[in-house]
Amino acid sequence: MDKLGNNDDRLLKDLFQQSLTTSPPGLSEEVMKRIEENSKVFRYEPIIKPWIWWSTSGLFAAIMVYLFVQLEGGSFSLFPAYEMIDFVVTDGAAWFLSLITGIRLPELPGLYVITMIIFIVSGFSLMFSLGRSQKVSFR
Amino acid sequence: MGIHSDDHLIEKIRKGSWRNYAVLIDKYNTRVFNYVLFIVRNREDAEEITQDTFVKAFRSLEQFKGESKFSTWLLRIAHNTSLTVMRKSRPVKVELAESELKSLNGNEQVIAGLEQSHLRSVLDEAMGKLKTAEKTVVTLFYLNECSVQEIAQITGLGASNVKVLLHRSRKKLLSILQKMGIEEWTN
Repeated sequence: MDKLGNNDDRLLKDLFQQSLTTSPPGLSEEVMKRIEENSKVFRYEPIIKPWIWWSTSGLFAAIMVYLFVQLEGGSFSLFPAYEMIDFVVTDGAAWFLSLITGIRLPELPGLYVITMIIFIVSGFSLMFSLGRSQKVSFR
Repeated sequence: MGIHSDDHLIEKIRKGSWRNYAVLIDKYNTRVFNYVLFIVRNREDAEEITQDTFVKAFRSLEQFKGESKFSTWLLRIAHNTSLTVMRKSRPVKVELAESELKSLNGNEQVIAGLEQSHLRSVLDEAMGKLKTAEKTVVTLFYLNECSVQEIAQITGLGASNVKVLLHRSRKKLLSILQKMGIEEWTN
C-alpha cells in the first residue's frame, strides 16, 4: 500500500495532483508580516527594568516626603509641591553650584546632599529607561 | 546539506536570518494549503489555517529536532490546527472559487475528459462524503505523497492503523466516484 502499485492508485494520484489549487496570492508576505509584527513586541526592552525605576522613584518620593516633614517641624505641609520646587530651585541649586564651583556652603544640611544625590540618580535612571533600549531576540 | 536544503535554511533562520523563512513558505504553501482545503472544505478557513500553520511553525522552530522531514512536521501542525478549527466551527460548506482553480501538474492522459475546475469539484464532493480521518489519510497519501510512516507521524496513528484506514478510504472514494459517474477511469 505504501507504493503506488496498481492502476487505481495511480489514477487517484493523478486526480489529486491535477486538482491542486494554487495557494492564495501573497500568503508568504502575509505570514512574514505577522511574524514581524509579533516580533516587534519583544524586540526592544529598556536597559533599566521598570521595577528598578519604580523602586528608585518610590524611594526618592518617600525621602522627599520625610524631608519636608522634618523641615516643617514634624508635620506635613499643605503645599509640598511648592516646597519641593522651592527647595530644588533655591537650596538644591545652591548646593549643586557649590559642589561644582568648590565654594563651600557650611550651612547646608546633610539631608540636602543625600536628597540631591537621589534626585540626580533618579533623573539619570529616568533618562536611561526612556531614552535607551537594547536589542533582544526576535522570537 | 545543500545551500537551499530545508536543514540549511532552518539553521540560518535559527541563527537570526529569519527572512529566509519566506523561502520555506514559498516551497510548501501550496501543499499545506491544498491539504487543509481538502480537510476543512472552506477556502477562507483554509487560508487562515495555512497562515496560522506557518506562524506556529516559525515560533516552534527551536523545537524541530530534525527527526522527521520538515514537510512532515509542518503537515502535522497543519493537521492539528485544522482539527482544532473544525471542532470549533459549524458544519462546513463547499466554497471553491472555480475561477481560481488551476492545474499545477500537467498529466494529460488519465482524466482527459474532465475540465480542471470540474475535476476539483467532483473530487471535493466525493471527499466530502468521507470521514475526517479517511480524508486525512487519502489526502496525505495521494496529494502530499506521504509514506505510511509519515502519515502515522502526522496523524499520531499507528502505521498498521494507517494502512487499514488508507485501504478502506481508497475503496470508499473509488466507489463514490464511480457512483458519481466517473467510471471511465476507475474501471
